[in-house]
This record gives sequence, structure tokens and C-alpha cells, in this order.
Amino acid sequence: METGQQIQPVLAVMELAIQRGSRLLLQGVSFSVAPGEIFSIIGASGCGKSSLLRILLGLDLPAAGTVRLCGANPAELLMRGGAAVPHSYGVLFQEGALWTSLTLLENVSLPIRNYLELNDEETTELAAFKLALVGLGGFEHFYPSQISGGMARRAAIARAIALDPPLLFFDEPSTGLDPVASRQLDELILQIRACYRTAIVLITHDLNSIRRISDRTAFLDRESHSLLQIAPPAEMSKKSPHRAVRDFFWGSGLEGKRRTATRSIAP
Amino acid sequence: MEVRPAGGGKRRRIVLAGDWKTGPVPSVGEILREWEGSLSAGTVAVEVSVNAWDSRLAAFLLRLRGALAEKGTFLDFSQLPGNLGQLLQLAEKGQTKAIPDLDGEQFRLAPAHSALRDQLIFIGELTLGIVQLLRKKSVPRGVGFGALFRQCGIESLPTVALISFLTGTILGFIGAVQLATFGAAIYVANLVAVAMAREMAPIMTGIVLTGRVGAAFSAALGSMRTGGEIDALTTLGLSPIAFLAVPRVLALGLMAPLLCVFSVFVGIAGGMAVVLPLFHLSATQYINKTFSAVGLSTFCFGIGKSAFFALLIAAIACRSGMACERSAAGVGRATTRAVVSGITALIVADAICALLADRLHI
Repeated sequence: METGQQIQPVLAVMELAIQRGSRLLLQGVSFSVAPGEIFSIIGASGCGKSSLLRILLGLDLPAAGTVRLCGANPAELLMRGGAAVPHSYGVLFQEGALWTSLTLLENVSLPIRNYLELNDEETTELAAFKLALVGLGGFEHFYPSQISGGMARRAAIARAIALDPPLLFFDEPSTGLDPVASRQLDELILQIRACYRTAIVLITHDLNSIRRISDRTAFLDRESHSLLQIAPPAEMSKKSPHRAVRDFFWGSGLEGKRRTATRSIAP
Repeated sequence: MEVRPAGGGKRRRIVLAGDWKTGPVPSVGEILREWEGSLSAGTVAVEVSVNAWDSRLAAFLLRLRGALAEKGTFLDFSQLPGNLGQLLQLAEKGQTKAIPDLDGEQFRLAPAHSALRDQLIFIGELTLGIVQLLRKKSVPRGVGFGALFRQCGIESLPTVALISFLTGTILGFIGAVQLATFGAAIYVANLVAVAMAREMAPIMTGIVLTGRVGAAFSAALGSMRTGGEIDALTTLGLSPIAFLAVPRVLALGLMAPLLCVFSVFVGIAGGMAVVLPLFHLSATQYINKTFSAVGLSTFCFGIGKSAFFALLIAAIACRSGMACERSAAGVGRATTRAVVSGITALIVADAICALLADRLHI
């Protein structure tokens, strides 16, 4: 990675507003992600994380504001299609979203076959290499329905990094995984960053995972429909000026309310 | 379930008593009419001394309070026993969540699309995809054409055979009974052959393919959309239409004419099977009549129609699956829509073809 005087962000979001139906979900969202950075986006469910991700990917249009992804507008990038898209970013969708009618090897080799000028043997070799990277060597000919959720996530990561993009999006990678699998996934994410210098945008509400791997975290607030704070997770959890952020990290003072009803008349 | 005002003169209390777990809940409207004028304006305390209750009591209290508030009487819930008061508080907290509406001038709102317009856009994109495929500009690699041909063609054979055979027997029987009264039973060969080749074979194959293959296409694409597989294609810069819709439309469009030819022959065989033994006709004569009745143009017209129908069915099914809502019920609706719109479009298209054929003297 070059160390020029001014590093161009791989992802820059300016004054974004998001709607769902006729309701406002988020507004005034601005942030940028530097090359090689792990940037996480957190917030309570329903705050607009997934809608934000769809806009960052170019799948939906924002109500206002702009997104620059590797210098391009992602919606236009998707509209044009072609090799520019997977060379700009890769995505791990929720639950992986592997193509269920293809084997793991075919899943990973599909982008390779369509974009790289390789013969069949080289394609297979490269796809198998990516699968080995995520720890799925030997599972090449399994179908997505034959492997566990954690393995499906890994296979989807292999597909996302098939063309070595400079930016990766992970949508709730640890949802539904046990603590061990979740920790292994975090390690894998760190290793991918270390090997490829990939910037990673992580949409999650897994606090442990954020503390372990995230460089900076953005907090989306459901009540005020805005991005409340961007800070390293340690700083955010210790001394955030915002009550909503502190509540998210430390619970909302449930201890005080946890008393039993003394005058119960229920049978 | 008892509820009554208490305290002298203008009543300042409401008492609830008895068993609030069984029996009908008192109607708020009736209570208000009964109490007309007996409650004072301002705050009124609620006392609950019931021996059993469930959520119905809480819902009743909230409803009562809402109705009384309009008449200027406000219920005070502070005297309620612990967990009932807590329950009411919880329900109230959940009700006051206002979400600001978008200011239409500040933000551009997503445009509303009509289904017909979307379908036309889809057909346009599909045509582009097919043209690109034929010009070998963007050949999608990794599409399983073989499995699609099998699904559309070979796997549909038994159903098409059964339906066509029965259609042929029905046509033959009805026709022969009518024609026999004129002593012209042998002309049933013409009737069955022309009807099968021109109309029944394309329509019956179309209906079988809508039900078997169209529904399967729609459900498969719908669940791919729900599971994010279509988004995964898009975010790899691969067009879902080129990858998923074009192969399916082409496979069905190529297989349907073959099935139609098959259906014509099976239908004619069906007609023969019922007519020959019943009306003592000779097989040679019957076959001669059949061949003299169906010219090449009639035969090709039927086959052309069936290809056209198949393209229509597949396009409707694919679009319905790809526009599916992201839920299990959405997949169900998409499949239903694919079959219903598919069969409707099939019949409408056939009527248009009949008119055109009449004008063009085919």
C-alpha cells in the first residue's frame, strides 16, 4: 500500500438520508473509510443498518446525499455491471447467500470464470486456493445445504474475496454462530485484512466482535435517526458523551428495574 | 366481570370486581351509555379488587380510559396492584412511538411503478439479454443449461403425454358422436388432427408448462431473491437477467415446440384409440384422412404458437419470481401470480393468434 501524503478513502459517504416507505430512517450520515481499515457500523435493530448497507452497495438509492466507492457512485457501478463491480468491492451477505444450486467450488469460481482470463484448470485452482484460505479445503464439492452456517459464512467470504477487491462489506457475519465459531470468524477477518490490506465495513451488533477487530465504530441511533458518534470502540464503550451509546454498550440500567412485584394479585 | 362507579353523588371512583378471567368482557360503549352523567368530570380513581384476571382486563382498562378521556373524565391508574399497573405502563409506552414522516420536498421519494410497466421493462431487458447472448458478447459462464432443458423438456413429457392423449380422446369421442348422425364419422380424423395441431396441442402444452415449469421458475427465483442470491449476483457485476432469466426463457422456448409436436401425435393417437373400435373405422383410412387434413402450414402455425406461448410464460414466471417480496408468503404469492398470469396471458395470446390467422388466411 502506498503511503502518499493524502490517502484517498475507499468509501466516502456524505450527508446521506435513507427512507423506508414514506418514513425517514436516517439522515445526515457522513463518514469515510481508509484503505485497510476495519470500520464497523452498529446500532439497535431497526435503526437502518441493513438499509444503509444496501445503499452503500448500490442496490438501493438514498433519499439524499452521495456515496463514493473507490471514486465511483455504487448505483451507477451496478447499473453498468461488469468487472468493475467485483474489482471494487466484495460482500458477505447475511447468512452467506451462496447460490444453493452450485457447489462451493462453483460458487467461488463463478466470478473468476466470468472476469479473469483463465482456463478451467487455473480457475479451479484459484477457487480452491480461496476456499483453503478460509479453512474449507476439502469441502469443494459440497453444496451449501450440506454444510453448517459457520462454514457457509466462510465460503461466502471466499466468494467475496475471489477477485481481491480493495473493500469488503460484511453484513452481520456472526449472527447465529456460537462464540467459538464467531471468534474464529473474527480471526479470519483480521487475517484477510493483514494479507490483502483490504478495508472492511462491518455491519453488526456483536459487541465482542467489535471490541476484538474494529478500528473505528459508527453508532446509528434509532431515536434521533442520525449517526451519533464515530470513535474507536474502546473509547466509545468507556466514555461516550451519548447516553444511547453507553446504553448500547452497557445495557440500559435494567438492574434498577429488576424487582419483583410485591403486591401481585395474579393467581 | 363486574365494573361499576362508586362513591356518593357525582361518582369519583370506579370499582372492578369479580372474576375477570372467564365470561364476556363488558362492552365499553354500553357502559358509557349506562353511566351517562353519573361520573364527574376530572380525575377518577380506579380500584381493582378482582379475584382472577388476565390481559383482557388490561386491554379493557386502556379502552375505557380512551373512551372516557373524550368525555372529559380521566382515569387514575396509580391505585392499581403492582403488576397490573406495570403491564398498563408497558403497553402505553409501546403506543407512543411516533416516526417522523418524510418531507417530500426535501427528499426525492421512490417512484411508484405499475406492474404492467415493470413487466414491459423486464421483457425489454430480457430481449437485450438474449441478443447479447446470441452475439456472444456476454456469455454467462456457469449456467446449467442441461438441467434446465431436462426440467422443461424430458420431465414434462409424461404429463404432456397424459393430457394430450386424453384431449385427443375427448375430441374424438364428441366429434364422432356428432358426425356419425350424418354418417360422416370418418371425418372425425380431420377434426381431431386440425384441432390438435392448431389449438389444443399448443394450449395444453402451454398450460402444463405454466403449472409445472413456470411455477417452479417463479418459486426458485423468488427464494433466490429472498435468500439474497440475486443480490449476490448483482454485486458481482453479473446481470441476474442474463444469468437467471435468459437461460430459463430460452430453455422453455426451445423445448415447448418439441413438446408440442409430441403432443400433436399423442393427441391424434388418443383420438384413434377411442374412435376406431367404437365406430368400426379402418386405421389406414383414418391416418390418410389425418394427413390430408393437416397441411404443413397448419402444423407449423401450431408449433410457432407454442414457442411464442412458452416465451411468454417463462418471461412472466421469471419476472414474477425476481420481483418477489422478501418473505415466505411473498414466494407463495409470486408463484400464484406466475401461474394465474401465465395461463391468462396464454389464452389471451391464443385469441389474438386466432384473429391474426383469420386475417392472414393461415
